Amino acid sequence: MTDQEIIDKTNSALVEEFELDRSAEEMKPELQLAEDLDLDSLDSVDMVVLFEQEFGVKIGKDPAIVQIKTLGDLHSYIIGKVRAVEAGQA
Amino acid sequence: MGAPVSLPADAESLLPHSGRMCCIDSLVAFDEQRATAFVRLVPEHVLLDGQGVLDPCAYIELGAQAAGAMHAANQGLAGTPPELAILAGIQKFTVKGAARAHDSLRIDICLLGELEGMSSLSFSVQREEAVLAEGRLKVFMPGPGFSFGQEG
Repeated sequence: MTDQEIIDKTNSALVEEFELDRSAEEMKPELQLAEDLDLDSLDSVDMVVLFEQEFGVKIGKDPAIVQIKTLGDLHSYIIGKVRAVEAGQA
Repeated sequence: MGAPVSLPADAESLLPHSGRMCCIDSLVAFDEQRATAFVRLVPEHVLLDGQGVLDPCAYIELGAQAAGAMHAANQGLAGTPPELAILAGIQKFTVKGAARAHDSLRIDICLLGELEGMSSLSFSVQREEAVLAEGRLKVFMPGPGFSFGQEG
């Protein structure tokens, strides 16, 4: 899976799971999760469940995910997790 | 100090609810990820309406109490007292059938994820092999020392 495929899948999953009022194509990396997408701390655990199911990665109680502010940061985080799985590190 | 839980466990021994407000009967299996509880809907069950039918929203309460019993059972094994838990949300809730007085219901719980005091759990309520309702619970556990009205 390429980085772009991971980004596209992340965007589509977020739009569908959280019923966001924008298309996957409108999900730009500079968007703020809280201010622009209305994803708050209550949604963090749902994001963990969503990405673990979508990508087969283990996020668990990783506190790093609640520090993520932008969609671009989230893309980088998920790409890192997927690459770690591919490398047999997680 | 908590104590190891023997199965089946009386739900009232695991939940803060007492008497009729304890809406499930027993916890029959649990580990850190999953649990199964049972209830027989006696005619005077608090969640039945005047016609002896379970209100559809009551499935959520059954799931929430089963999740609470699961958590308390796991804490018992860990030797710690039960913590305050708040039902913070419901997702993907679907009702597929009605339950009535005298039905015996099985409630299955599965912990999907935990982060910063928030847990996401799936639940289903079955009568024999028929799934009557299912959904996801979001539960917030603020941790020891929390009290309502506390700031910060």
